Amino acid sequence: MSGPSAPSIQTVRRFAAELGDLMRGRMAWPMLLLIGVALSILLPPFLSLNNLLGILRQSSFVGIVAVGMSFAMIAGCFDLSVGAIVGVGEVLLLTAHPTDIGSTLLGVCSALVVAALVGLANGLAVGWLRANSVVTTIGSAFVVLGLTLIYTNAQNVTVVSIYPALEFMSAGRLGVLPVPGILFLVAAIIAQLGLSRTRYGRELYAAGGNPETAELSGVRIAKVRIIAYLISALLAAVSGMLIACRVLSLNPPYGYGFEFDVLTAVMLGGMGLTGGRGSVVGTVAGALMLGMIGNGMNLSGIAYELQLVVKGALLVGAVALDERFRPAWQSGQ
Amino acid sequence: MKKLLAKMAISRQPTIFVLALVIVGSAIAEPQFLTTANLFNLLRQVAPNCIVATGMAIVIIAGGIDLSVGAMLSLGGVIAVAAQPSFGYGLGILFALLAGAAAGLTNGLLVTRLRINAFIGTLGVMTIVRGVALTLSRSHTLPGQDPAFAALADRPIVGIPASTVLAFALFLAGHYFMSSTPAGRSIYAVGGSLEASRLAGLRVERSLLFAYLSSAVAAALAGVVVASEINSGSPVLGNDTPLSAIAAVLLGGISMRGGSGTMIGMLQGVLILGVLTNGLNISGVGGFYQIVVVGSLLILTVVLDRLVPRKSRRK
Repeated sequence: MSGPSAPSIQTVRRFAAELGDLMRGRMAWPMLLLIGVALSILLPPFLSLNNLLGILRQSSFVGIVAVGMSFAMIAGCFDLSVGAIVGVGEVLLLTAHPTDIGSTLLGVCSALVVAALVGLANGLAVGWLRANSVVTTIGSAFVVLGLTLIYTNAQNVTVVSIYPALEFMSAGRLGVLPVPGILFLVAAIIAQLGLSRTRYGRELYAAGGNPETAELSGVRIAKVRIIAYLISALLAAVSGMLIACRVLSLNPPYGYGFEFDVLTAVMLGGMGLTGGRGSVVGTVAGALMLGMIGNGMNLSGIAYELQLVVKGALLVGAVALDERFRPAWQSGQ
Repeated sequence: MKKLLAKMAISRQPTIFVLALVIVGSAIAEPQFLTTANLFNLLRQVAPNCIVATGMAIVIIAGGIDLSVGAMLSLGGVIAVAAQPSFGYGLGILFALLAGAAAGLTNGLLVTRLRINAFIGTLGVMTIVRGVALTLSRSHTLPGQDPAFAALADRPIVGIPASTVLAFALFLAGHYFMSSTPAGRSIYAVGGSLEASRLAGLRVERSLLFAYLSSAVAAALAGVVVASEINSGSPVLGNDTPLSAIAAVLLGGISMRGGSGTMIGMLQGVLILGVLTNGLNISGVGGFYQIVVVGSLLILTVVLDRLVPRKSRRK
């Protein structure tokens, strides 16, 4: 803090802190609107119905995983294994050659079972044994990636045709709306209701906000975290299957690096890093924001390599803003 | 169950026994293991990871984590090779190290000035550095131009590859720095308790900055070593570099909670991983299985790390 000789700076700071208080966790939607307006002024092709619906479709794959990751983040844990789970979900569905109802069910079930096992393992290690969540989930990400590579022999996985229902889920439209976009929004609404209306939601915020107090008041942290990791892993597998049905051909290393986009979306949505804060409503805005920015960069022809740089800067910027406003918010508690 | 696991790792001593175990195991399972050619090979295989892990150990002891080392390793190699035609390899190596310093400084400033969570800050920098490496190399693997550069890493010095000598020298410097200098001791203090160190008047920011700086420069140096070994600069290398480095550091008994562990432990961790990988290689177990093994080891060690009771355990 600067000395008392600069009262104007202090006033500005106090104002900024109060503004931060007010906007805490609600910044994502105004930001989304702002970016949308800016992009439609700068890039005329941006503001067409087709392009906007395309953004919704593109964002939904990241968004579904981000909804799941929000649970882990609210519980105060990171989940970096989602990229690898997306990959194993893709591979398991496509290698089942889902051309009829039987093989489709087999593929979907095996993907969900594997995802649940990984989520359970993460949850046990981080929730029950209290291991560091970053390192644990990096470890499990590589275990899953390695097993997927062994399973496929590191070959491309390609199918020619898939079951029509799967095609509808990933590429179809309901009215004008893309189906994965609808799935994303439905998942988000259910998740938000679960967070704000159920006992589990309250326990999740409590476990992330202050584990010791939560434990003393009877919240079983291990259970809460295991469920959070399960939700995160299952939604990652769902998203992986949707992606697989869309692209029909996968290259190794499957899904690697996807977790980075998801994390950026979640952080842009105003999630707190230390748990106990944030909402799925914010995450939805974060995912759409990331999709819009990516779309804007594509439209203006920015190379993939530079897009990486921009995304990295976005992640750091989102977290920097969060950290900047947090002290004011916490003292307001 | 928890108690049983805790008993298995009751002290930090087992590292050396585990190391002995993997060496004896590999020697018995594979007669090829104890040949001069293979030991030479083993030494040059562990060198890059040892260099990265030395920096990573300092960061983790300081209570942080550096996920940008893989991208930095890649960028270091790309710069060293890309600069060869116009500047020669000496300057190329210097540029690579300077880029490492810049990335490390960025990490350090993000953590100290902007108070960004170390994991997120370095993850963001990782993506940025990766993007720079891809841009610089136009997403291609750059072939090395200078045979002298290619011969650098593997040139034997008294029968030991130069890269290993460099790694060991760096380890000795790191060990001396961390155990015998005030700056090193204050990194332990900062990792143990940031607030207490600040109250005690230590220059917390400076310690953290130095930790991230050394980690990124070490990663860039490892990138130069790898580039020399394969005589090319690849922008896609190093995805599993943070995995191996963190695994080595944790296997060596350095706690994720910061403030404890030794560089000697780190070296043992590096050797355990190296011997294990080498043993798997000569028994014909492929790279993907090794990723699985290293990943599982990482989970196991981080779980044990949590369970091991510590005298100064903080709530």
